[in-house]
Amino acid sequence: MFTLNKYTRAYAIMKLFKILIFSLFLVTGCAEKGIILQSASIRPTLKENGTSVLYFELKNNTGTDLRLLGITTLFTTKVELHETYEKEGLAGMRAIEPVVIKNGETVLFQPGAKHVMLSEINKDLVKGSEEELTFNFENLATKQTERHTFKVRVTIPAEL
Amino acid sequence: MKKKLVYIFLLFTVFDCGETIVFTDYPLGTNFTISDEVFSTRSFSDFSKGVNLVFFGFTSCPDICPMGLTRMYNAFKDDTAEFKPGLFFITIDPERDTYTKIHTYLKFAFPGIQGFRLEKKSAETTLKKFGVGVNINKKNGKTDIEHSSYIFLTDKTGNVKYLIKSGMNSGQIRKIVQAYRKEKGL
Repeated sequence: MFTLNKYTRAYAIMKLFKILIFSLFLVTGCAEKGIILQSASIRPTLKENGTSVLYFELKNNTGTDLRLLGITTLFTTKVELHETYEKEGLAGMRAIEPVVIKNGETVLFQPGAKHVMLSEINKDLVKGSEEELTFNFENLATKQTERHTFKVRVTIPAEL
Repeated sequence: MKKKLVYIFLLFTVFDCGETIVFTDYPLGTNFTISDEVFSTRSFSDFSKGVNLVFFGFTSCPDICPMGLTRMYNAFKDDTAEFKPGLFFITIDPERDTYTKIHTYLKFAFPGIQGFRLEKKSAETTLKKFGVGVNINKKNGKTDIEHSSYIFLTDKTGNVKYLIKSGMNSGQIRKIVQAYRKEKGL
């Protein structure tokens, strides 16, 4: 009868472990291509209060550098890329220039930092609902404009 | 040796190794007069509790103010009204923030936080006494506002005992309030 002594057993375990590690590399190597939007949220707001905010993480896996020019949506025409800053003990918010996202990089729009201000909203943004947003990019290799549409949940960002 | 390590580990666990919270009698705060159209002639202490959190902001602020209010709200959202500290929002933009606008805003997103709109004179004195800086810049039909983003922990009469930085999360805010209660026997 075939039996494994402790050395062959250890060898088999090591081999199995190597295969597992290799498979893991294969899986992560096949990362999603294109533009990946994660942790996106729109703050719930009533129409009469008017101002909401969009946060997200955007990964550029397109193989080329992009510039985020702006975002369009049906619930407002007033959308601004913004950042929160501190100066002499006071905090403020200001508009920022379009954001370059190099290939393979991730840009963060999050509370207390870069964010997208959505003002003069034309409907209530109710917690749990979803809204469609189109992200407009300039492809820095071809100089062409690209549009990518995503559905984003209306909710409070998890980190708060 | 092993025993020693276990003792050290237990010691660290018991004392949590956290930052010590020190409450100070800041020369800040006031039992301000509420001068909006609903609560005029009343003062902060008519609404306050033994421990209160006060945030100065404006309702059309997209990031800083809702962030501060969310943290304040989340820190105590599961508590009964009796156990909640007094939670207050005071507008620094009384020109655009009407009484109705403030109350709709808070009721929808942060129920349990009480909002006040102070008339110009009362607002100026209150901001000064709390040391809240406000810069309002109007340009091309746009209003940009810079302001202090602290959450003030106060006693019943509005005296500031702790300054909560804007980056602190709801868990840290809750810990600070609990520590204050413990120290004051509230």
